Amino acid sequence: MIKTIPMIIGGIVQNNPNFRELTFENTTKVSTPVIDSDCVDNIIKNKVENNLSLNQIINFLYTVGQRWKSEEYARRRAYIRDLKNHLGYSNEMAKLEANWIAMLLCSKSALYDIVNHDLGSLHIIDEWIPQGDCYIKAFPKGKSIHLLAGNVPLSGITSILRAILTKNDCIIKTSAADPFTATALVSSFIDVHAEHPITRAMSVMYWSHNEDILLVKKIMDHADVVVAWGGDEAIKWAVKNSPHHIDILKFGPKKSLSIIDDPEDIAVAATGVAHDICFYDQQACFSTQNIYYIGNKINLFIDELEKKLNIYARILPKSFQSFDEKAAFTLTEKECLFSGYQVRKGEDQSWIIIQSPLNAFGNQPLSRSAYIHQASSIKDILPFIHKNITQTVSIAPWESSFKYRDELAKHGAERIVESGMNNIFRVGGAHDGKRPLQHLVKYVSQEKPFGHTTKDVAVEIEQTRYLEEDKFLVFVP
Amino acid sequence: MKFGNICFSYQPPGETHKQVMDRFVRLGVASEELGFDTYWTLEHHFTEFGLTGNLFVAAANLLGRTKTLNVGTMGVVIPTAHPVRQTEDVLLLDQLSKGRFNFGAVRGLYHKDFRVFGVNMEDSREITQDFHQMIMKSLKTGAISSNSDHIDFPEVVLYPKVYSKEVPTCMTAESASTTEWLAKQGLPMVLSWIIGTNEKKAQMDLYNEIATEYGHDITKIDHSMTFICSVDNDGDKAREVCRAFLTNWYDSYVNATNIFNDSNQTRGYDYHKGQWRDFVLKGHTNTSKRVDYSHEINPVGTPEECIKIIQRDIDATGITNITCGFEANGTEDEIVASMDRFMKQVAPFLKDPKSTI
Repeated sequence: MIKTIPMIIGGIVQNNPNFRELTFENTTKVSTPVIDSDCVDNIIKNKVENNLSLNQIINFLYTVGQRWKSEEYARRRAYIRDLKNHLGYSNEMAKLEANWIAMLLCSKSALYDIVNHDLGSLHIIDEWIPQGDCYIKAFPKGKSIHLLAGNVPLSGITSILRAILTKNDCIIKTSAADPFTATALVSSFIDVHAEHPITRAMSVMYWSHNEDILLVKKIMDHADVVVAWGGDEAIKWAVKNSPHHIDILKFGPKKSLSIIDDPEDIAVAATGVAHDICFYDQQACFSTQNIYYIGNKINLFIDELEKKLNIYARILPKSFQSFDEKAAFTLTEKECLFSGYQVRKGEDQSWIIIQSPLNAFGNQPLSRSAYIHQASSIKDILPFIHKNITQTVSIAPWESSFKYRDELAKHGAERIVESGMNNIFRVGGAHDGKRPLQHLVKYVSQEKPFGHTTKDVAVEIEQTRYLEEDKFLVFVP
Repeated sequence: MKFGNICFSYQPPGETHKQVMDRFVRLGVASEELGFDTYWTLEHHFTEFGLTGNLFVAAANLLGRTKTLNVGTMGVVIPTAHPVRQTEDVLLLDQLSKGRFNFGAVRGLYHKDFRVFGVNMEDSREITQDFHQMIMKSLKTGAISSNSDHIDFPEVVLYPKVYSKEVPTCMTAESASTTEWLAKQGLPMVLSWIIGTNEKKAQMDLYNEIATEYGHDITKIDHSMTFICSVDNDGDKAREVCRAFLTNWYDSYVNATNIFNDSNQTRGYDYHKGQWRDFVLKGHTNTSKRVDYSHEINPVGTPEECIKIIQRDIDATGITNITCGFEANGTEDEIVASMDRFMKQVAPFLKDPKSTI
C-alpha cells in the first residue's frame, strides 16, 4: 500500500485525478497529486475574509496545539510513523518533532511576544495605532508562498506560523524530502475547525522544481511574498520565479560552530556540544559542524564529548542512513586518518569526532560528524566566521559570549547562543539577520491633516498660501 | 452496503423505564421490517444515558423476536465481567440465533461501572485487550484459560460450541491506541459520530497503514461508521425535533462520568480528556453549541442533506457499513417514520466509495 499525501487547497482536501510517486532515501514511496490547471485556478482564486484578531488567531493555534499534545491524537500518531517509516527518523526523534509542534502551537505567550518583538507592537496588526503624527497599521502582504525544505520539519511550521500570525494566506509547497509536516499541520487545522478562516487560508501541495514550470509559474506570479528555505538551488529557483516586485525571505544554507572557552565544567560544555551535533543529525543550519577549543584541556573535553555522544546515541538515536551516506562517513574517516588527524568514532557510525589543525577540514558528511580544533584565542577563530554563511555560534561557558559577541557579530555571526541551545530559537531573537514578521506585513500610515500642528511646526501646514507668499521658511524650525 | 440501527435506550426526562424498554423492543422489530441489517445495543449502568445494562439479555430478546435481523452489542464493557461468562453468552446467542449475533466490545468510560464491578479503571485498556483476545481465541478453539496479570484460571471446555464459522466482532475505537491495537489484529472498528470527516479519514489511514504492515487484507475488514440520524423532507424540522433529545442526552453523557472533570487524574483516558478540552476551547461545553456541531457532521436534515453527509464520509473512509441512531426523532411513531424515510430515501442512494484517498 503506497501512502497518498493529499493536496489541500483553501483548507479543503482535493480529489485529484493524477498522482506522482516520491521515493525516499530508504526506498519507501508515497503518492502525491500532480498540480493541474484547475488546481492552479482554485489556488489563485481562494480568497478568505480574515477579520480575526491576534487573540483569536493564537487561541485557534492553541486549540490545534492541544490536539498535538495528546498522544492519542491519530494524526500525531500517523505523523510520527511517517517520519520513522519514510524519513528514517528514530522513534525518539520523530516523537520529539511532534512534541515540538505541540510546543510551538501551545506557547501562547511566545506567539504574542514574537509579534510584539518583530513588529514592535502587539496591536499593530489589529488596530491603527498612533505613531508620531500618524496612525499606522501592519496589513498582511496577502498570499505568502512558502517553499519549504525537507531537512528541518520545524522550519516549515515556523514559516507557516509567522504567516498566520500576520494574517497572510499560505500557499505551501512541501519538499520532496518531507511532504508530511505541512500537510499534517494543515490537516489538524481542518480537524479542529474546517471552516475557520485560518484553515480556509491554507493550501498545501508539492511540485518539482524540475518539471514544466508553466502552471507553477502562474501560482508564483500571484505571490505577495515568498519565503524560501533550503539549499542554493532552492533559493535560486525562488529568486528566478518570484515576481520581481515582491519580497523574498531567504533562509538559505548556513553553517554553525561551537566555541568552547576553557570551561570549568567540561561535562556541561560537552553535553551542550553533543546536543548541538546530534539534533537533526546536523541537517539544520544551526547544527554545529566545527568546534573550537580555547584552553589546555582539549583531550579531556574530547573524552567527555565522546561519553555524551554515546548517551545521545541512546536517547536520541540517529536517523536512517543510506548506503551512500554510510560510505561518505567511512570515506571521511579514512581520509582524516590518512591526513594524520586524530579520529574517534561511535559504534555503528553513530558519530565521529576529528581533531585537526585550525585551518584543516576534510569532507563533512554531516550525520553527527564534527571537527574539533585547538585555538589559542578568539583571534584564531574569527577567520572562520563568514558573513552570510555563519549562522549560529554556540559558546560554553555562556559568560564568554559577552566577551566575544561584538567581534563575532562584526565578522558575520547571526546568532550567539549557549552550547546546547542551537535548536531553541529564543523569542525576540533574529533569524538569519532578519526580523521575519516585518517582511510579511505592509505598514500603512494614516497621516494627520494640515491642521495638526507638530512638535517642530507650531502652525497649520497651509502649503499653498505659504507658496504664494513665499514663506516656506515658516516650516523650518 | 450495510445499514444498522443503533438504539441507545436513553431515558429522556418525563419518560418511564417501561416506555424506554417498550421502545427499545419496538425499534428492534421495526428495524427488521424496514430492512436494516443489524440492530445495535449499548451497555450502560447507573445512568439514564442508557438503560440496557446486560446486552446479552437485551440481544436475546430481540433475536427471539426477529428472523433475519442481526443483533449486535456496541458494546459490551469487556473489563467488568468475567471473560468466560462473556464467552458463554456469545456462544449461546450465536447458537440460538443461528449466527445472527455480533459481539461488539468497548473498554468503558464510566467510573461507576469500574467501581461497582471491582475493576481498576486505569487498567481498562490492558484488561480489555487481554479479555478480548482470550474470548476471540476461545471462540475458535472451544476452550479457554488464562494466566495473565488480570485473571488466572485453568483451561475449561466451553459449551455450547460455536455455530458460526467466525463470530463477527467489532470494537468502538476513538483513541489512536485502540485504533493501532485493532489494526495490528485486523479487527473492525466502530467509528464515532462526534468526529468530522477529516478525522475519520485520519483514523482510517492510521488503521490501514498498520493493518497492512501486519499482513491483513484491509479490503475485507468490516468497519462501521455511526451517525445520529433524523430524516425529514423539511430539514429544519429534522434538526429541531432532535434538539431537545440530544441536548439532554449529551448532558447525560457528560454527567455520567467524572472523566471530564478538570481535577480528574485517571490515567489512560487521554483521548476523551483531550476531546473534552477541545470542546471547552471551542465553546462546545455549551450543549446547544455541541448539538449544532453534531448536526453539522451527522445526517440530520432532508434526504438529500443526509445522503451528502454520509456519502462524504463513505468516500473519505471507504466504510460502507453505516449505523444510524434514530431515537432523537420524537415519539416512537416519529422515530419509526424517520427510520422508514432513511431506508427509502437515503440508503438506496448511497454509493460505494469513489475513492479511499
